[in-house]
Amino acid sequence: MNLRKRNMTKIMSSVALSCVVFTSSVFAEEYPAKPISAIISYGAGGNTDVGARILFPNVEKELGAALTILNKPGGGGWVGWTNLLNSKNDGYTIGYINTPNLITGYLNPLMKRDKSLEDFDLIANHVTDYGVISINKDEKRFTNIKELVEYAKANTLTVSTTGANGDDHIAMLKMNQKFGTKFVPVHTKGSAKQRAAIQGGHVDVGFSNVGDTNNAHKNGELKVVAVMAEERSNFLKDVPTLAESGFPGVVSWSARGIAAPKGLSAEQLEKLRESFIKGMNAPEHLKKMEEMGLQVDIKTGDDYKKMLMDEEQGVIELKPILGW
Amino acid sequence: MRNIHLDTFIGLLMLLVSAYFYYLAQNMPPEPAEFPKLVISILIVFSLVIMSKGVLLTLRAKKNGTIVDHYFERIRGPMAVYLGLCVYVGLIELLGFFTSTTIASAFFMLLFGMRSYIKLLLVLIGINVFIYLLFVWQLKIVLPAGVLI
Amino acid sequence: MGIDFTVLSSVIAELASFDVILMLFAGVIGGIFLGSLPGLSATMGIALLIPITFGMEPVAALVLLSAIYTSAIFGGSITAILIHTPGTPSSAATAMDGYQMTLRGEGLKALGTSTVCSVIGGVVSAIALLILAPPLAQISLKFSAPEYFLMAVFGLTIIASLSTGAMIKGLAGGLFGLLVGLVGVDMMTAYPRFTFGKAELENGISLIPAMIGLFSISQVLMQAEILHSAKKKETVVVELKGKVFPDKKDWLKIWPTVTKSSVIGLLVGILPGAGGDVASWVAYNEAKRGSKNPENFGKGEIEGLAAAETANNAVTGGAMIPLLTLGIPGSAATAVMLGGLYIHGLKPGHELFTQNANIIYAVIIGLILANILMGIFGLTMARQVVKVASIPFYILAPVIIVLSVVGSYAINNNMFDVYVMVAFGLIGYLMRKTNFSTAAVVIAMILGSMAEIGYRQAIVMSKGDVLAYYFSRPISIILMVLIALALLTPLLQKWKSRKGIKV
Repeated sequence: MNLRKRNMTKIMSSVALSCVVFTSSVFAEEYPAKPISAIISYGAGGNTDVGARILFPNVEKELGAALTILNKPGGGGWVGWTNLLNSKNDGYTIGYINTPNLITGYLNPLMKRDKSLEDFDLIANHVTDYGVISINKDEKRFTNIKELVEYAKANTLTVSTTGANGDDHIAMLKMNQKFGTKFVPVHTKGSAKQRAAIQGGHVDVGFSNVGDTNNAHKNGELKVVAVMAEERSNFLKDVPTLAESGFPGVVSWSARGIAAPKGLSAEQLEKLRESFIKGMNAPEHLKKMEEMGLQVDIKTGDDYKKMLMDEEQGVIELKPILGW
Repeated sequence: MRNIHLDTFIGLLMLLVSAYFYYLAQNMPPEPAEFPKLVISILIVFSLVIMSKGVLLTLRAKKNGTIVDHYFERIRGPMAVYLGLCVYVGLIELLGFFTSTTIASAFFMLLFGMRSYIKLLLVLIGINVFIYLLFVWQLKIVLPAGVLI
Repeated sequence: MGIDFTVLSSVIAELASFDVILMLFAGVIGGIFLGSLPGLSATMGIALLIPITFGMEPVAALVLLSAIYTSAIFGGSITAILIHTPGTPSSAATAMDGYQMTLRGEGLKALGTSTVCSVIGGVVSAIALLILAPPLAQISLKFSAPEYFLMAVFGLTIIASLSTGAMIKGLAGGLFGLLVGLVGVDMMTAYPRFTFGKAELENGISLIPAMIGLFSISQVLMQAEILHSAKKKETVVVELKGKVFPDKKDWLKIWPTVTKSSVIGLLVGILPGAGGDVASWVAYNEAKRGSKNPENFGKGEIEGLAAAETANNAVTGGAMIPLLTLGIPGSAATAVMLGGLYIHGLKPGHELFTQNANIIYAVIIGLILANILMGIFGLTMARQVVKVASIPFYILAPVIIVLSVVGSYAINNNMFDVYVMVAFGLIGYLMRKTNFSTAAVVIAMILGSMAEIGYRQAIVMSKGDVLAYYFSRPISIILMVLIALALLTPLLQKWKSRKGIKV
């Protein structure tokens, strides 16, 4: 009966919401006066989508309007982002932006996209998933990050990543550039095949993220040897960061947050930022995300902007290696 | 024209398309271009085989004084339906999904020989209600809207 | 691990709740229904339902999702058999012989066989999940790039034999499919191939809209030939006679195929990134190769139907094996289920089978029950459902067209996919009229990128000597032998039959 009950409560709440919206729009043109569309550039059921569906009920409460999810997958996210940028900047279309795909997508000259961060009004970062380096659980040639780097300086090692020009690949290139390691990438389609490649010993090293690797590490199915972050991850407390192991300067993450096409009014932006931050701080949201192994990382305004600018700068520095 | 075996033209068409794609592959860096070039090269060989088979069949028919078999004898019905489909899909973003679906389904039903207007009306209502309930209401899919819905 | 019988009582308690039973029924009925509609695949059904399961108990939620998974794959076959409109890519192989059986007046038998085979495949794989999950999960780790490459090649060998009498055109169709599969950003170098500057093409041409065009729309166009023809009264006569349950003679005939296909489906399911679409073609290929009369395949051969149907449902339990034991989903649908597990605080791995044993065993037994329930529904509804095939075409055609459009749109919420569907509809019609094989295009689209990526990954992974690398891997060697057999058997058969005539 749960299903119907839930649907009923959903209907009731949306009715209630629309009543609120209706009355408020009668008395004053207060934003938001109607449901807001949220474009998610990845498919339903993916990580971004599930995260959004966990978050949005909490934001809707603050916002006083419904958030309608539109999944627009394709083009590594760019079908959705093109859609977002082409929508009206009236505050009724927002969307998730995911890095580094967003940034590599417009910096890659092959894609011929004349877009940049300047085309977005940033609302808030939601999740930051830091990169990790892992090895097979039975690996004998190296058992920690120091041995791994030393070994990789002398020998070619294959690295499984989740795609060319993705965060894993970029982190791997940075390692090669900074520490002279001889990592060569074997790109795979998605984290399932990537994990199988590491756990089956078909590749030497895996570059992935905390979110999809921490559970396997805890279960002893593979060994995470380093986290590519400034500080240790809450989900992998026993794993050192690259910097504390003596390899500073390589930090890698994929992050996702909310943005709108440029040109929202200051009041609209303020309302959205406030609602999203309150929604993200809601205990039930934080608890669910914790269960999923995802690091909620709330950043807004200049902090969020700086984070994205830093990331952009990092990719620009790699341009010669990427052949751009 | 009527006495040339259609495979000749099919082969020719395949050849032209393959050649165009090969040209596109020429401009790619070597690594991503490798597999496309392999596939297209074999496709070119096959289109030549199909084309020459067509020519052969044409010549044989001429020699024997028979008529070559045509694949498309009754093309008008399918083409009418296909044009209808194209117009339907084109209208979706102009008029909106439900309006164009209603127009298109009515057109197809009449085209295929539906004679009872009551039945026609019932089917139209059925299609729209079904799609609304399943896709819009249950699956929460936002169907394209145009001037109308 | 095995089943711990002390857990049994708590498992039964979990299952006996009203919510769980309701979800079991809802999942099976909803799954069959969604699966039968073009465009609404198992993956999509699960993805769209996950938010609804947020508030449910874990057992109810996961029983719902797994019931939808297995029954959507079965549902997709119903329309494939009756109106040549596969509801999901897993049923494309089913349409090959299933629809021919319907045309021959054996629609009921085809539906019955499909139901029974689906249940067998589903139950076998669910039992494997129940008792052999940990050892079987290791298989997913034994397969890597070289094996994927070889498996894709093995699947592709069937193209050669698809269009009987016109081998060149069959192969050309396959090459066209490979070419279509090349569109999009190259995974290994991120170079956009044949994308013409369109972001929508960067992820490649979506399989489902292309398949809807090639199978469903082309079918409508084929039947539109009765318009403007001299014999306007000509309609598709579909006899509805016969028994639902396959009789003893058929049963004896398909039994070996069903056994073989269950194993194939299970194994393909276990492999990450290969699901029912791959399994059904590999099993179909295997059945055809092992058959005494391979020339009947594609003309309504019950063995072909049985192979595809058993294998695509055997994938379900198989795909859940690495999902639950390693957190590595074995198919697209189970990748979406992974999110569902996490949301309910269930972390894949050893713990799942010890700490949460009552939940997880309840879910697995729920999957077995879902398969059985699906069979009961399938068999009892068959006599009603088969009438779909005899709905007058002036109603059926518009309905198929509208569902094709809305189904293509719903996959990515994008009109672009609808245009793809329309384009492939014309291509499919022209191909069928000129004796090309549309199935070859679909197979090549499914397996082509798997072959290319596997091939190129293996080169990097071998760090030098590629050939030695292949021969150092036992599974690779087995697959190479299988490919050699697949290519040589037709030749041997021809040679034998020629010799037979001479003697």
